[in-house]
Amino acid sequence: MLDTRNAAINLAGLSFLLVDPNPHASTIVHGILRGFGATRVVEARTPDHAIQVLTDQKIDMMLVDPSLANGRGLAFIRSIRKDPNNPFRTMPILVVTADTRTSTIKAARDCGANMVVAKPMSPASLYERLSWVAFHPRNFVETATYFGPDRRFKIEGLPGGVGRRAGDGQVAIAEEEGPAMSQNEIDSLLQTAR
Amino acid sequence: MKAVSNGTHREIEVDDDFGRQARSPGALPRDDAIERAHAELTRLKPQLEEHVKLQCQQLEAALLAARARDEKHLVHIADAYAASLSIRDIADSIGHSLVGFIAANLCTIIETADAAHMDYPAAVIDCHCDALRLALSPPYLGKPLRELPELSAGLSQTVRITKAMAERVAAAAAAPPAAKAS
Repeated sequence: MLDTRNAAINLAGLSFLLVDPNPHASTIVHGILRGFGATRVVEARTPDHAIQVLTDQKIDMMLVDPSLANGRGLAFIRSIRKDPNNPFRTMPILVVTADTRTSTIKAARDCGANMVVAKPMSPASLYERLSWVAFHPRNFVETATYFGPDRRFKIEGLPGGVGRRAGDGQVAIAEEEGPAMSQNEIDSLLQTAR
Repeated sequence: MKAVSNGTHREIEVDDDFGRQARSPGALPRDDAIERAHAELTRLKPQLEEHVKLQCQQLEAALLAARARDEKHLVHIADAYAASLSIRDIADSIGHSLVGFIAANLCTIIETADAAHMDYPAAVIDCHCDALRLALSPPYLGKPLRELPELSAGLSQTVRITKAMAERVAAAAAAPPAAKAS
């Protein structure tokens, strides 16, 4: 896998839309992005305002707080993803939240967000996630109930040579010693970093 | 965009403008970009500190008012929750980690009680009110959380107790009527 820990990302000329009901929290993200070299950052406080911005302007990435509009932030993301005529359907979307309960993280993943960034965020943690989205693009998957980035992170190999995708590689691993973890157990290991 | 379909799902290869531009040459070196972002936060700190200070005053007032357990109790808790949310999102980013921690705990406690449809745990909330007053006093103001391990461990313990109480309330509510009677 490509090591991007020290990779630089070029944000000049890109447009960001921050959708956060809290103007002060939005100011922090805005300031961090400007520090990274972003030249166009637009803020919206409501889904309606965000839709207006998306109608009028070209936006390259959106960061959304799920507490938007009394907790309807994730529904807002889902509405963009599920609309086949929406030009921003495949735009990268990050969920920015102080609520890092497992249920919230899963809901963010299932609404079609690319990544979750925990608030309060540090410049390094946001940089790392922007870098990940840029250097590890994921295919989008469309099913009857989901449209968004592939929720399976690529794996390097499975016991017994069983791969889930043609592109998955093989790695030498130890013999299995017990039952495999359930999906819930695996999901519980997926934590957002500050 | 290239798409591959297998009947139950369709996989679409996406190469968006963000990725193309972000990977292009001419970027600020990573460490410089992060340093500049920290400088931006330093520039914003006075205005954010003013906001946190105001929210802390509102939070403290709401928590003290909530101690009366009068007919406006739910209003005071709602006010405390709104102030806590606002502080939680910001305080840590400008170096007020203790205040941010207390606010985050209060959000968790109130959300947990709401989700379980149980009474707000008065003793736990009062405990956080006292911790907030301490955090806002001169010797503690701006002190990093890592320098107060006993205080943070104690407060975390009260949050765990609240969650355990909520689980018991939820389990009791879900139990069949016969089990409830016994």
